Amino acid sequence: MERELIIRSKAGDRYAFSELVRKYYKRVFKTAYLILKNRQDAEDITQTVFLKAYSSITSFNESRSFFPWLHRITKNLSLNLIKRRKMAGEKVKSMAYGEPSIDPLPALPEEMVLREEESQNILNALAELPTQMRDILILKHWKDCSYREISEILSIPIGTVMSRLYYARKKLAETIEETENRGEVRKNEM
Amino acid sequence: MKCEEVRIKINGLIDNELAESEIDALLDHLSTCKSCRAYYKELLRMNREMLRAAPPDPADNWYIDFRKRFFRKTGGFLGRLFFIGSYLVLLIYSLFQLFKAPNEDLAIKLIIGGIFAGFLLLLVVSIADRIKESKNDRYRGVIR
Repeated sequence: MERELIIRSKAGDRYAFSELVRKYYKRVFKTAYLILKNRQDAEDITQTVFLKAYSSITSFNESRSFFPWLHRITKNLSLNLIKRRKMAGEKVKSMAYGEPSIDPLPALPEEMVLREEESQNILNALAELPTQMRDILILKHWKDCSYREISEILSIPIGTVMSRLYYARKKLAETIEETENRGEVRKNEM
Repeated sequence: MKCEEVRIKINGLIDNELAESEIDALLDHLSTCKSCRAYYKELLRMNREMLRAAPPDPADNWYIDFRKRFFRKTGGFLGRLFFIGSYLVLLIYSLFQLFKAPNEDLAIKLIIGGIFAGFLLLLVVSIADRIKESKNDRYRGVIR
């Protein structure tokens, strides 16, 4: 089904391409939002991503997954926007948790800081995880990637995706417990 | 199967990535192993919490707006392409016919040739300017 939409889009069918947009725009938006930390910028970049994808879809190999390709375009365009703004002397919010690795995901946006306590615990725990584990959890849970898509984005075999997710979730659960315990101790001290 | 192996598979089950045959074996183990069942429930809870902490979705009307503008923009591009393309072909053809005609005055041929060359030059310059401008536009690609 998706392959057919891609082939039709390659032949210039705009309706087929708009169906692909419908399928992926939320995930593209989230990818941009995690880098740019701003809703308006993320919406603008999402538009640009799909226009760029449409203009270069003939170079896309339809035997591959579509999202990893969009993910790469989104990352490049978002990072370019940040770079252009820095060069233009605009103030750009620094990455919240150090420099990005394969995926500049740890930049947790301000809006997300205003969540209820449980979500806050998750965000704190995520921030404490090694980058490799955080990346895979965010790809799975927030960007809704399949194992195949994760495998293409991170260039690792599917078996590794499965085991890495297992260890990342285990570590996340431990870290949540630790951060919750730290919070309890602090409350008792007050 | 050892519990650790099973738990790796439980991740696959929750992520909807297991084959039917694997699911059956896993359910058999879950029906007899209390700690793996507890792990399964804990994983479901963590998934729910991760979803609650997820980044927001784009505005509700994002897709509808995009679709409208996308069709307008790509349609506009095709329209310009056909209009300018056909116009140029027509001009080149007329010019060719004019220069081929033996009875026409040479001065007329040169004047019309000059007008055409001027038009072509202006067109090329304006397209080049437009490309240069769009390269420097930080919001290029954004449909407004």
